[in-house]
Amino acid sequence: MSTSAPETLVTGDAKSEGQAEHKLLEVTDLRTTFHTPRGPLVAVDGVSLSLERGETLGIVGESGSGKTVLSRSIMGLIPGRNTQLSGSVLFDGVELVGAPESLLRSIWGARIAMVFQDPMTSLNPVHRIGRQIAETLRLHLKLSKKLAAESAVTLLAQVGIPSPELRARNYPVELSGGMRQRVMIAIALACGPQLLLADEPTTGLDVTIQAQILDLLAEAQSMRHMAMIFVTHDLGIVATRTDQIMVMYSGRAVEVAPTRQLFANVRMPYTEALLHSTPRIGDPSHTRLQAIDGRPPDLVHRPVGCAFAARCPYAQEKCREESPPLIADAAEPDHFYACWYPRGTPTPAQAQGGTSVA
Amino acid sequence: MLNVDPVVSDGEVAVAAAGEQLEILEAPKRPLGFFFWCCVGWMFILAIVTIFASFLPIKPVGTFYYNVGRDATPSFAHLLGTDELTRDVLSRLIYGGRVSLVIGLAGTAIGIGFGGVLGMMSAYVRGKFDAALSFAMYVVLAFPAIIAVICLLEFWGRSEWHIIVILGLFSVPFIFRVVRASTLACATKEYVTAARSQGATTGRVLAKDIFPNVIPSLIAYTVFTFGGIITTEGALGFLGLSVPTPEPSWGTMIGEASGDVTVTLAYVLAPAIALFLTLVALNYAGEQIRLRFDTSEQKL
Amino acid sequence: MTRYLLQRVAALIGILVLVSIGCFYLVHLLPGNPAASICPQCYPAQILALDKQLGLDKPVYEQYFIWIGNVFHGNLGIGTKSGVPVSTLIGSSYKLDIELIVLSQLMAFLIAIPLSVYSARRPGGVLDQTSTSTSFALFCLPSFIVVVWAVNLLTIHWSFFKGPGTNPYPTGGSWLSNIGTNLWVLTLPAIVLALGSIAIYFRLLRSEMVFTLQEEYITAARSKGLTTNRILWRHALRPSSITMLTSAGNNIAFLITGLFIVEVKFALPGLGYDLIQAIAAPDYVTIQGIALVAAVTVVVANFAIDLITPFIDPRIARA
Repeated sequence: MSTSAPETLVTGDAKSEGQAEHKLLEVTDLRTTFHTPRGPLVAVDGVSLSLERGETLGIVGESGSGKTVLSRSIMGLIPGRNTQLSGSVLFDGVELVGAPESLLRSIWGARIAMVFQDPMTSLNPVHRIGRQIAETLRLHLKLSKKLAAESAVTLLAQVGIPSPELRARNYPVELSGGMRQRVMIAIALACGPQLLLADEPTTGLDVTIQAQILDLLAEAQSMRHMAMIFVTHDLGIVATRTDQIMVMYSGRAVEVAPTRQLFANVRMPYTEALLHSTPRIGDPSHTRLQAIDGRPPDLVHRPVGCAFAARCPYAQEKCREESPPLIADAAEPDHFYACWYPRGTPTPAQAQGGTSVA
Repeated sequence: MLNVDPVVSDGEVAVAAAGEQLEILEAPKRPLGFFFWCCVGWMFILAIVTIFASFLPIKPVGTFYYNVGRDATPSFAHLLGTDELTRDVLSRLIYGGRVSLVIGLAGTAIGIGFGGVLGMMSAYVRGKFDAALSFAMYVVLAFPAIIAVICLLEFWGRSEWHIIVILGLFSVPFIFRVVRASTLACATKEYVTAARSQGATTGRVLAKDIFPNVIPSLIAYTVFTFGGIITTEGALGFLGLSVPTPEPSWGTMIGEASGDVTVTLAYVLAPAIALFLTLVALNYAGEQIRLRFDTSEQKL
Repeated sequence: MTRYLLQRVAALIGILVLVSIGCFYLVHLLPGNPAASICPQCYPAQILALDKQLGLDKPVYEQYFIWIGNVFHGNLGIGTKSGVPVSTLIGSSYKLDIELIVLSQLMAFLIAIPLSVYSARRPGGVLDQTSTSTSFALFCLPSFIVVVWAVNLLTIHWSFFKGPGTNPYPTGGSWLSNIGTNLWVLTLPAIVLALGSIAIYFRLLRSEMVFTLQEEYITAARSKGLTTNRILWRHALRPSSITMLTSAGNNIAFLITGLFIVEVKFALPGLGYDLIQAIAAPDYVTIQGIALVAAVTVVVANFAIDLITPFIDPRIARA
């Protein structure tokens, strides 16, 4: 197996070129490089994905896997000077990579919106809540001040905030964490975007609030036929709420599959390890939490070979020498993985150790 | 495009701006820079020249050169010409520098002596003592010092020593504030509690645990205070309220130059440029020191 | 919010009390007997009588309360030598000084704010480096140097502005009718004063803006599709301006030094001029009055700024 071809990804229902109906989002070989004093840091290394209208994609990975950078690169939000974006991001047929700022601005907020991780730092502390929502409405939908203010209150009610008229006059510092996140969602949903990028929207919130927020997002999605990319480090969250899952490691997509297939037939040892490290309710008490040993590799000085090799319990010589390409599974054509010795398939040299997928 | 470049303190990976938590390396110590050493060099030269002024081949200060005349343009004999009283400008410049430096150094010493000690004590002891002292310092800061300085000087008498004491005392609140802030930052740290629990006396804790951590910001602000005192002395001199003539000081010389229309360009420029260079040196050096050592106060 | 306000008011009262005591004692620390200075040739017995007349024989704290009581009635006392009420004497001088301060600070803000905003937008860029170096140089050029150079160049060599003294500051007539001349006369002095302030404000605001522009909410604002200008001015500026505003309050105390210098150089009849005259006399009552007026202005200005800041940044007083 050679690794010469760039990773191109085609989903199950392959459409030929030239067809009128194009996908909502088509990312091809996206690469994001930061130029740091230590050298060029490739945070996203040739990732491809595609998304239909109304679909949900979950992107899962550890801190440092590049998942946040990926979501921002897709949107085009990466700050300018020391960064380089290459590849292609086709949103509803429009190329976003290298697009002029004016084009991006017309899309941001109106057709693509982002929900950020920490609502305390992503809401402007000196503006009232209502105003922060109304701002997008006035900018993209050209609503009058009065109408925008009223719509803002309606939106607040829609995301489940009690006494929305009062809350609209509050400042972020006066709200609780869960409420702030709802406000962020309200802002993102305000102009009815076609794609929502949610960057760890529930991290740091109470578990009960987490569930509420996730339900809220799901509801908004179904109501508006909105596609969503959900970035998280928690496999458990995306298990039931996504159509596709992409597992990222060290800037690359290492396993991509429709959700059910991913959990049914795990291929990449990293994904398997992630699954194992999630504690389950059904486990007997005092079951040890299985953490993955070691740390993600340095993104500036990449190791030769598979990035996960140092931590993989099944690593072989070949893994350390050559980097495995992302290829389609023989049995399931829309399940992709990057591993020389994938789990659950017979391979020439049987890897030793480890348990099979539960 | 809105170029929001993340602040990359040398070595820190730029990806922090994108929200990833990559391994943040130990930032290498920020180098002080070539210009910093130029500034130190200037102060050094200034100090040497003024201390050894009497050994230099310059005209003695205070002598009147009637033969050369008033407001003479620079010549070989008088490198900066003469002033309106036919005194040599260059030697006045150098002796004036001595006055500025002495007042600056001694005044700063008083400032950091009292301000430093009070600041540390106040932050360490806290409670009513701290509240009262901080309030008092705030009041002194709010008061327009120049008025008090002028009044005190006029009535107490203008002499170098008096100026040193008054300017020094008025710089105490600034040092106090800075030292108190950095002591507060230290005193709440674990190792201080640990030391105290081992029975160390207050004095010992202050000296060994807190003081070494306070020093970096203290040094930077000492340099700033030095600059501030020199400036204030200059202002007083300009108003004719500094050390009494005929003793020269840069401020006085600038003041004298401003009144007269017939003064030479050299006389107008020389003390002003000397003062400017000194302030640049002090402020730049202080700023580099502050940036280099003061990790807690990121911004001002 | 109410708690914050109450704290501020309490502090204000406390400071005003202490400051007034300070002014009062400042003068009483000074050597010399006021009575003797009024009437140098009087006999000791006459001086004692004069003392009694002026109320100087009473204990010091009693004198203080009498004085403060008068101050609240607007009576700052009567100049010991001139016989003119102090409030009349310094009334117009005070107005002039306030005009100068307001004018110079307005200029400083008008220049420093846009400069900081656009420098922070591209840190390390051409504008940023030029502005930072220039403002550093300005910071190291005390007002007396600028004044000398400005006046020498502009009035003597280029005759752009009239020299000091040729354009006297109008003291008669109503303030409004004279406003045109006022502003023209005060322009150059105000510029001189503004230069030092620009250096301070620019430095503070620029570094805060650079810091703020890295905050997550700015990226969030971008993701809403807002234009760069809107983000800079409506989203980033407000949270960054607090340090600069509070420094403006502190700056006033320093401005006074610059004020005196500028007054001397431009021959403006302000408080500095009055003070020098009062010290020369020596007129203790006037000195007291001037010190009090100046100190109270500084304190009240700081207080006003403290009142404004929570409206600019709601995190203050609400968190």
